[in-house]
Amino acid sequence: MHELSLACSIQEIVEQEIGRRCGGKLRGRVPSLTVRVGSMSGVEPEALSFAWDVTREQGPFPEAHLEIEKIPARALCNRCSRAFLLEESNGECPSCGVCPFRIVEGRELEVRRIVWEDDES
Amino acid sequence: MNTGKIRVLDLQRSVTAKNDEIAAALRDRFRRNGLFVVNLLSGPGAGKTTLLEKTVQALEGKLRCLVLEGDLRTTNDADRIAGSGADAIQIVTNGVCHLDSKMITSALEGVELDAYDAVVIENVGNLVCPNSFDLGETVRVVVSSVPEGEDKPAKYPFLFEGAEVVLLNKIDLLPHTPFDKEAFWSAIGRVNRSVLRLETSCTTGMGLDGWLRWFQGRAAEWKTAGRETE
Repeated sequence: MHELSLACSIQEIVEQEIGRRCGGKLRGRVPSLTVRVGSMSGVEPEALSFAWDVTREQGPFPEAHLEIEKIPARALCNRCSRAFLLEESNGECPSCGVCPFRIVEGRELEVRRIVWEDDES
Repeated sequence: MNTGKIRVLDLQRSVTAKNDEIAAALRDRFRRNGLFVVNLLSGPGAGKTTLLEKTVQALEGKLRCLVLEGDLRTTNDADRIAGSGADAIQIVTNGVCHLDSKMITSALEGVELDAYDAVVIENVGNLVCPNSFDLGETVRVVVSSVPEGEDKPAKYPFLFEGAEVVLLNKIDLLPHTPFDKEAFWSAIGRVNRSVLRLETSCTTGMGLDGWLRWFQGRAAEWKTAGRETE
């Protein structure tokens, strides 16, 4: 359940980003934020959602709704350079079959967007 | 309702950035000391601690090893390592499912790193969570074992992808199980072509010489590389 540590890091990022836009003193509301989670990041989106709901209640923005953008793992076949989705292809290149590939997308774990309602503007 | 001005902040901030920053500082410190650092990863019961006991026993007098033992609750593992002759520091995570770079930094506070050639960090037994946390290590080593089944690399490719060595441990049990060795190695090979594949048994000692050779060789290489960058 490392999602709880990650949820705390997300909370810190939200506070930093808003804090530096209002001189260190947090204000306003955060209706929502978006986090990108790759399927190869080792993070379970449902567990992260659950962990976030626990974390946000303790923080300055208890209303903040977490939207998770799931990024499927995309691989590139080392032999024919065809791009394919790992989950859809059962780990095999659709053209060459079982062969080495490299993962080019799907490790993401990043805060992508914070929607901030600034009540002092 | 009194609503304020809506501002959309578009960002690209890694959630693990803080851990990564502390890990980078650790990596610097390790390199300055020419220290070879292994992050040892596996599920529970794959045989990490026994492997480490055998390793430090065999390397006694050749390499000065420090072992950091991650555990959810107990100090059993550090006691076992200390009993086999190496210095061991226990990190009790109190239920946290992984080690992070901050825990490593605290554990090493006041430790004279000059006194060692190598550090092995035995992570918490878990195939998923430790993977997200860089500890400043030189290399990652994954231990998998025959009783766990051959499907682990297919189920947890992200763990095997970043490893320099994979040990298939408890290989002496192979004749007693339907374990498909070829499926195991080929799933790893698909995400990690350059990985060193070792098959070991800490009960019979099979394959341990290859593991020890790799360990000593890499530690020596690293010591030279560390000095050259100074």
